[in-house]
Amino acid sequence: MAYDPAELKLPAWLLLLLDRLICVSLPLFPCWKLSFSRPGVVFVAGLIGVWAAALYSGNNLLYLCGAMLLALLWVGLWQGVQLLGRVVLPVFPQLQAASVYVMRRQQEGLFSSPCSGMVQLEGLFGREKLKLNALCYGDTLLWYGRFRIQDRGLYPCRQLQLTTAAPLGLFFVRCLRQVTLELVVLPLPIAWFPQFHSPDNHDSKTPGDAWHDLRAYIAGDSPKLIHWRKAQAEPDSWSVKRFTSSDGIQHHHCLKLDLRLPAGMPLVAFEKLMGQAWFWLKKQSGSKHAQLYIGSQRYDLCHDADYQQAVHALAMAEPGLGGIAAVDGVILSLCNDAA
Amino acid sequence: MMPPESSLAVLDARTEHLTLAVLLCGVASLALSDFVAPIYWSLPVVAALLRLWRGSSMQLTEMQASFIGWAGFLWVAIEILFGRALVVAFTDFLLILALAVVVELPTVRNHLHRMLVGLFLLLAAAVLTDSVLYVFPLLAMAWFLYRASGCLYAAGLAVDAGGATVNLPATSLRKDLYAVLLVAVIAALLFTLLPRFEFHSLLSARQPHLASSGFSDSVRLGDFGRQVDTTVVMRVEPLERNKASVNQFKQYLLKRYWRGVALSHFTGVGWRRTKEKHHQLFLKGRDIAISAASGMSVVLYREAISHAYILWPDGLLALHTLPGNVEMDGLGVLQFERAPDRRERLYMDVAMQSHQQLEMRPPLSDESDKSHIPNKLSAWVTATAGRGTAVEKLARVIDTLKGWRYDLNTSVDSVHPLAYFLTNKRGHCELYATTLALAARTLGLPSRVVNGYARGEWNEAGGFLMIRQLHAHSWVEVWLDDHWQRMDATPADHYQSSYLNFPRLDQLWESAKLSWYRYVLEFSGADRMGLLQQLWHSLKQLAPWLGLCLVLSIILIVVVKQIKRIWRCWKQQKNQLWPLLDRWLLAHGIKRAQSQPLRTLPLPQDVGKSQWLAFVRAWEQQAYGVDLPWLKRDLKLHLKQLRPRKE
Repeated sequence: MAYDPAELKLPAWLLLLLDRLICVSLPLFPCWKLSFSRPGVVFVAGLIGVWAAALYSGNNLLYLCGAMLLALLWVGLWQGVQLLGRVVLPVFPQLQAASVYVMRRQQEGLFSSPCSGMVQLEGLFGREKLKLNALCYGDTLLWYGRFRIQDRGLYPCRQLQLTTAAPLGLFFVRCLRQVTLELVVLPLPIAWFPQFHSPDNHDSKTPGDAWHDLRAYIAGDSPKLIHWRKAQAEPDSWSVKRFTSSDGIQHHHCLKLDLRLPAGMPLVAFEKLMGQAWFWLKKQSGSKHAQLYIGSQRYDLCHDADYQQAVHALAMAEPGLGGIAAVDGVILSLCNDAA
Repeated sequence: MMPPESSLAVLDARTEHLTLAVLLCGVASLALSDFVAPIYWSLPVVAALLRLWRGSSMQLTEMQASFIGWAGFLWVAIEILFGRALVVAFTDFLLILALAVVVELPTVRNHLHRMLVGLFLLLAAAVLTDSVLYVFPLLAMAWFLYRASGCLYAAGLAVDAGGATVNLPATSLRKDLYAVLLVAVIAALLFTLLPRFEFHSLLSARQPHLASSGFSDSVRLGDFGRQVDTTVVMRVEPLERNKASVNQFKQYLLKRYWRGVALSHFTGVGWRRTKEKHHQLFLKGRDIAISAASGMSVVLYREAISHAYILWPDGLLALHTLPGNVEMDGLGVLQFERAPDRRERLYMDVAMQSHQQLEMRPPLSDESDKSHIPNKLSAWVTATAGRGTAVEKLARVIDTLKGWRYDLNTSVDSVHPLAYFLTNKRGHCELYATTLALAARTLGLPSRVVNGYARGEWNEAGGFLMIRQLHAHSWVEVWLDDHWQRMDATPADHYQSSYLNFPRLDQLWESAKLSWYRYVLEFSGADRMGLLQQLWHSLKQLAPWLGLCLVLSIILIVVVKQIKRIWRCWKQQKNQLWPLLDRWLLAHGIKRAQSQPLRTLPLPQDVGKSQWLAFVRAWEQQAYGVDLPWLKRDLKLHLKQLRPRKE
C-alpha cells in the first residue's frame, strides 16, 4: 500500500478500527467482492462527511464536490472491475519437484489495460496454494512469482481468485474465475544413457566417429557431448553433438517404464526412476519414432497430444503392479539387488 | 510490499507536481471568494512557484513546517478575537497550512497532507464563493486528484520481478482523460438526481453584499444613480424557456420600471421614508397575490445586495414561494426582514400591460408637505407652470425639465442642491425627480419620489434581462384621479447613456453566470422534479426515435465488432510466421513436425551452423517476448541472412 493513513500519524485505536473495517467484504456481483483499504476507509468516511454537510446545508457546491468525489470512487471501481475482467490468465509452467521456479513472463498485445495496476492471482492447486502477481499497464501484462512444490504430481485447480487495488488504491476488488487448470510438477531429470548409447560405449565402439550436426543443449545432457569449443558462458549458447552412428540405432527410441516397486525399496528410488524417465522423455522431444510405455500404456511421442499425455502420466505415475509391454526397447525398471 | 529507494525517487519525481497541483486547485477555488484576503491565498501560490523553480533546495523539515502551522493557528486565534468570522478564519488557517505543506519535505505523508488540505480548501470554497469560475478548480481537482492517487498507488508497486526491479508506469493520459470525463458525467448525473434537503445552516453558500446607495430609508441628494457602475444586480428571465415566452418577454417587459423604495418626506437636502403604520408580513414559502389578472411568469435572480428591498416591475400580479419573510407597506414597498446574505430567486407573475397597478394607500401629510421646498423652486414653478389646471401646469414643468440636460458629472451642492440645479439646468435623475415632486406639491398635488431601476439591458446570448447598477433611476409618483401615477421628468439622454454597448463577450459571460446560478447554485428539489418531468415527457415523445437509434446502434456495434474480428483474423493469418518458416525448412530439406521447436531440428541444408544457431536464438527471443515480435518481413530478412558458410 503506497499511501497509508498510518502516515498521517493517526491514533492507534483509529488504525485498529480501520483494520477492522477493511476486513469487511461487500458483495458486488455474483463472484465479485469489494473491500476497502485503509486509505479507502478514510476516503469513504470523508465522503460521508461531505454528503452529510451537503444534505444538511443544501449547498449545491457541496453537492457538486460530493458528487465529484463519489464519481471518482465509482470510476475507480469500474476501472478495477474492468482490469480484472480483462486480465488474460498466464500459462502455468511445468515445474520441477522440490525446486524453486521464478516466473517472469511478459505478455504484450493480448489485452488492453484500462489503467495501470497490479493484479494478484491466488489459487488452490491440489493442496498447494500458489500466488502470482501481474503488473498491468498499456497492453503489457508482466506476470511474476516464485513457486516451490515439493512433490511430483498433477495439481488441478478449479477456481482462481483475482484481486486488485487499482487504479487508486482505495479498495480491493476480488473476483473468482472458474477455470480448469492443471499444474504439472515433474521430477528432477536424472541423466542416464542406455548401454548401447552411453557416451563411454560410444567412444569405445565407434572411436573417431565424427558428429554430423549440433543440437541445442537440454538440461541433463552429458557434458561430454557438449561442443565446448563453440560454447559460451550461458547454457543457452551451448550445443550438443549428434553422432552419425547413434542415428542408426533405432530400438533405443522405445522406452518401457516398469512401474513396479520391489518390496523394501524406498519411494525415493521410484522418484529417481521417474527422473530418469523424464530425462529420456525430454530428449525425445520432436523425435519421429520414439515411443514410451508406462506400464502397459503406450505413447507415440511423435504426436504432440501423446507427448503431453506421456508428460502428464509421468507426473502422475505411482508404483503399481502392472507389467511391461512385450515389445523391443529399453526397459527402465527398479531392481532390488539385495533381494 | 515496501517500495525500494529507486521507487521512492520515481514517486518524488512523479507526485511532486501532481500533489502540488491538487493543493493549488484548492487554493485557486478559495481565491475566488471575496471573503479571503489575497495575501493569504497568494502565500501558498508563491511558495509553490518557488518550489517548482528551486526544487528540493526550497524545503523545510517536518518540524520546521509544523512551526509555520502552529504560528498560523495562533495568528488565526488572534483574528477571531478581533472579530473575523469563524468560517473565514478557518480558511485563513487552511491557507497558512497549505503554505506549510508546500514547503515541507516531500515525503509520502507530505503528499497526503497536500491532497487533504487541497480537498478541504475546495470544500471551504464551496461555502465561501459562488463564482462560476469555481467549476475550473473543481474539474482540475478531479483530474489531478485522480492522477495523484493513481501515482501514489503505483509508486508502492515497484516490484522485484525475476531479479529486475520494475516500476509500474502511470496510466496513459488518454485513458485517465476518459476516466475523468466519466467522473464529470457521473458527477453531473448525481448532482441532478440526488434529493435536496435545505436546512440552511452555517455551511450554506455565502455571498458578499453588493454595495448599493439610494435604497435606504434616508437618501441624500447626489447619493443615488450617479455612478456608471456596470455591476449586474438582477437578472430576469421568463420561467418557460421556449421561444414564444422569450419573445413575449422581450415585447412586454423590457422597458418597465422596477420599483424599490418610495420616499415621501423631503428634508431639504434629501429624502426620508415615512414610517408606515400598517405592514403586512408574508412568511417564507408563502405567496403574495396582488391581482388575479393573467400574465406571464418570470424568474428574478437577485444578487446579495446591501439593502433588503425587493425590486418589482409595473404590472406585478403575484410573488410565489417567498425565499424569506417579506414585509409590504401601504406604499407598495416590498422588503425582506433583513438583507439576505446570498443570492435569492424570486418567482413573479407579471401582467402584459404595465398599467396594472398595485393598490396603494391615499396620500398622507408627508406627501403634501411643503415645509422644505426652496423658495427658488417655488418661484421657478410659478414662472414655468403658467396658467391652467394643476395637471396642465405640471405637464409644462415636465416639458421644461425634459428640455434640460442630463449630466452625471455635474456636482451636487450639498447645502442648496436644488437651487444649484435650477441655476445650472443640468443634473442626474434624482434632481429631476426631486424637482418634479416638489413642483407637484407646490401645485397642490401630493407626490413622492421612488428609487428603483428603469428598463435594463437585454442579453441576446442568454435570452434574459440584465439590470445593472447603472440602470438605477428616480422618478415621481403623483396622486391624480385617486391614484398614484408615475411621472418621469428625466430627459431622454438618460436612457441613451444608460445603454452602454457591452461587448458580445460580456454578454456570453453574463449568460454563463446565469446558467451557473440557474442550474448549479440555485438548483432545488423543485428544479430536479421539473427537469425529470421534462426529461420523461421528452423521452415519451422521442421513444420511437430513441428505440430506432438503439436498434441501429446495436446493429452497428455488432457489425463493427464482426468486421474487427475478421480483420484481426486476417491480420493474424497474414502475420503467421510458421507456414513461411516451414516452407523454407522444406526447401532446405527439413520437415518439421507440428509444434516441434526449432532447436530440436537438425541443421538445414546450405546453412552455416553458427548462423542457424543464432537464428534459432533470435527466433526464440521474439517468440518468448524478450524481443519485439517479428512480422513476416522480419522473418524474411532473417532467412535471407542465412547464407551457407564454411565452418
